[in-house]
Amino acid sequence: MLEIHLDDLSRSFGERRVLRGITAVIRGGERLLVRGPNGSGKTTLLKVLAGLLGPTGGGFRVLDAGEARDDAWRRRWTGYVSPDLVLYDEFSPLENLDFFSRVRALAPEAGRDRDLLGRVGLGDRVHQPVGTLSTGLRQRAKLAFALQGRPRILLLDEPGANLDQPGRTFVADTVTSFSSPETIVVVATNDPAEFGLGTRTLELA
Amino acid sequence: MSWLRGAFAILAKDVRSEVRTRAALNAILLFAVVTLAMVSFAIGGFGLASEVHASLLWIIMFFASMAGLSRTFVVEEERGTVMALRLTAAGGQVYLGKFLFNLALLAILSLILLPLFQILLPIPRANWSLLLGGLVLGCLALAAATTLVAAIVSQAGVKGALFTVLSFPILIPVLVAGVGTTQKAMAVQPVSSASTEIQLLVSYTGVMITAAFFLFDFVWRD
Repeated sequence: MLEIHLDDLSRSFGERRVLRGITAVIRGGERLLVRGPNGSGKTTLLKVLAGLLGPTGGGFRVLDAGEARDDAWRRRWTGYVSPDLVLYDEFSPLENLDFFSRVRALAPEAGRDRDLLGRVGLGDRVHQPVGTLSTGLRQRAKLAFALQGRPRILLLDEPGANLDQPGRTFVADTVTSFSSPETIVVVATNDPAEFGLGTRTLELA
Repeated sequence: MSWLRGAFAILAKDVRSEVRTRAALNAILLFAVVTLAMVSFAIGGFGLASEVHASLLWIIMFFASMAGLSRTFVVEEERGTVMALRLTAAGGQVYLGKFLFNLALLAILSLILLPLFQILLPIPRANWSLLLGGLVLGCLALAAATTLVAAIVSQAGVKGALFTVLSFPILIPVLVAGVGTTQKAMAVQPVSSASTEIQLLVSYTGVMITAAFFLFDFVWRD
């Protein structure tokens, strides 16, 4: 079973303490909904879990069948979406996914990225530069980036932002499909329409 | 092997991006050509001592590098794509990919600059193997150091002048050894006469690349 242990996790920016000693265990199969007002640290928590920010106090461990996993494992098996994630504008969604699959050292698989783009609703835009896509379509491209390589930890920060109803339905279906003990989903949102995505809620003050 | 493939994927991505946007190459080449043209207009009619000739070549190389070598990191930071790269790539992979990209830029700069230099400020006689060898080693050292500095500078608020200001003291050994090698080549001295400079350039590059692999994660991560 996959587990994430948060051990008195804190994160400060200068004098300002954003995350204050969070202790929790997120178990495989759980979908953790992180809620809280603006500035409460939802995005910061997801960035720490993604390895984008280091904790300034405490820490967290990813355990897979009781074995601690390192940064390389996290890079390979973590999918992440947030409003400030940006893909390469001058490349098409297919070129972006091709590049990231090489960096992630994913085994070559014919048609895999094209199929993924089709699933997120970009099947007819695979060759269009990301910079020329609408914000909603860019969000779909970011979802494809997060889902590439069948991640075991999926971190979604406001995943429904800029999406139309079919896009939101896709997000909901995707999140609820992550229910095995080998996967964990963490969703940070203040959108009431996404409150149903979680099996458990973490309220940040 | 997959680690190396990731680094080469970053290099290939940067080359493809450069072909489409010309963010760094235009800046480097324009600076080099304009500077060379101005210098040749000013002193083209006079015979130059090998010391002056060598210094002019390396001054143009240095400032042209400063005009473009930081772009590879600054562009990632300014456009926000650095986050996707941090999520997927190890620090060492990013350093190696960007180092090779900067090396490719310097190779293109040298390939264009040297023939132009020979046309506008002709070098009468030279030990060409020493001159070209010194230039190759100098480019390796320049790329190794500036790639690390560019990664640091890209996270600062004021990026423009900081890159040159931070790079200059770090690059002094490269510039001194580079000018020394080129001057001896232009004075038609044998390769053995520049052994100290060559050793300095080789060990500087080795130390810089080794240090970068150990330190880059601290620069690259939060």
